[in-house]
Amino acid sequence: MSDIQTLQGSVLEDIYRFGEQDTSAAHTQVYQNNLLASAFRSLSIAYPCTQQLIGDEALKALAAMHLQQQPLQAADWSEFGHLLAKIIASNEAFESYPYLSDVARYEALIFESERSKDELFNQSSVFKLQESEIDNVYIRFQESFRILESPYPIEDIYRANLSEAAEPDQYLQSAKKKLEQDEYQERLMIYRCRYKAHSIAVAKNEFAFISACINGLSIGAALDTIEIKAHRSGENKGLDLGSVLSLLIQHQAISELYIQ
Amino acid sequence: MLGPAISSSNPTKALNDAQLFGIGLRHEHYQQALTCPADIDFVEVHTENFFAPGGASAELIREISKHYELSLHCTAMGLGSIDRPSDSYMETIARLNQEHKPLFLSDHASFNRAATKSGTNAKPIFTGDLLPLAFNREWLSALSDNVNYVQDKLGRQILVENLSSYFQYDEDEMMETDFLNQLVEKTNCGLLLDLNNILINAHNKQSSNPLHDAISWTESINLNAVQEIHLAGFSQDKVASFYIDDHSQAVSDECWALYRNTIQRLGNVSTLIEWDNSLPSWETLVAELDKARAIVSELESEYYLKQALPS
Repeated sequence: MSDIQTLQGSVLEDIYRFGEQDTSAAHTQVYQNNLLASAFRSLSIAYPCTQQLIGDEALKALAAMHLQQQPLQAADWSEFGHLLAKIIASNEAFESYPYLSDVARYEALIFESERSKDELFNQSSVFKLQESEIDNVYIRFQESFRILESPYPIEDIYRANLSEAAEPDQYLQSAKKKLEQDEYQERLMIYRCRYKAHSIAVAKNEFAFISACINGLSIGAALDTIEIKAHRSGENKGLDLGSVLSLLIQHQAISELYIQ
Repeated sequence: MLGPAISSSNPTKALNDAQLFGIGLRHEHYQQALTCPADIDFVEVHTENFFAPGGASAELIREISKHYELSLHCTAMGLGSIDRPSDSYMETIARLNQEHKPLFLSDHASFNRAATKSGTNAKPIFTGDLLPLAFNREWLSALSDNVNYVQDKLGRQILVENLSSYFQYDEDEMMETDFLNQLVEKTNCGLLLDLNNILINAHNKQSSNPLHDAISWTESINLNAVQEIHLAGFSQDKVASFYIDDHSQAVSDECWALYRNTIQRLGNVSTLIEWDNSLPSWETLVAELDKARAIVSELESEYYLKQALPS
């Protein structure tokens, strides 16, 4: 390493030693405080519901843990926070919030969706379904589209805790009812309508189909997978391809259909 | 507007450069700035806040640029870092530069990333902050290389801002002003003179007369390279007794005095008020800019009077 590399590296190492404040010089503490404050602000922007649930001090502690586990990897603070859900899941302090990790996952997807590029659905691409067998037709999803599966009613918890929630009790009651169900599983697709990301619950087979397509299967192969799974589990609920495609198009999930 | 030569020391610049007055536009004022456009020449936004390729922020900056001339002020190029800004970072800056054609595009004489000994690989880690540079030839070379690289990539001149710093390096070999003047020579970049930063550094060096030292600083800088001035307020960290460049206050009297002195020698130069924390109302912020206009107007009158009166 050259002198300049060594010196710059050592300045950064000193700043990242923010847990050892007694040993840091006062000037280093100024930069350490800036680092922690920026990390906290960044998480506050992307994870408002998590912040609402655990409070500012706990989120500050999480920001510090995140920086210790994974220092900032990019110039843009919006790229910070990817480990948050994992850190929450592995931290005993949050055991009384078993759903918190999934709330953080949900918020990360909402944040990503709202920052994604603006796209329109290529309507003429639906004719690919006429041009070729569905085994050769694939779905290209919009960059703003995401899916999430959780054993908790994440969507209701999120809505109930957002500061602008009109009727938080309504969402909490709904969440309670869902948790009373046996083996409740929430399957969400997250999409963006204009600038705001929304989510909507989808059925198990719809979710399986969408997951398969996201993972690179053709429409035909995704349908086959679902049928095989349904057969094995004794569920014979078929999937109406027209309905699921219509659902995806209606919620601006698809960029285009294409043949490969 | 085109102003007169306020000082005979720099008449060409004073006569040829338009003097624009702008405000740092922050999140809290977006709506008001758009619904009640103020009589200001330009707004400066932090470029990284508009990095998202789509969504609300992309639309917002399009709206802002419909109402105001734009200055893109970057905080994360890390121009003094040993390696170049990443390709993805530069692509985003280039996209925003291409789309909005800002009046100014600027960043700081600072570094923000480095590979560390404890790192698992050579990939650098970032601080998300503006870290000071050592003023020596090796660091000047790193800074110049990156400034040249960025200007080549963007096909335009960028402005480099002097930094507020909370420590100095033993490795310093020259004055900050010499360092920046040589940067201009090596890259033909412009300078963004942050008067508040000069004062903060003077205070933090325990200067017995910070304003005097700050004036000396501006007397040593290549004023022909200065394209823009930043004015801001600061606060004092009571624990560490540092003056902190947090832009949380009105422009200090000291900073106004330095501005008056600088404009007398520099002539016309675009001026911007930065206020990032504990923000006042939009109207208060616009009124703060009027103080800068008043100083320039007063200096112009003095100049005309001197010219008109028989010697």
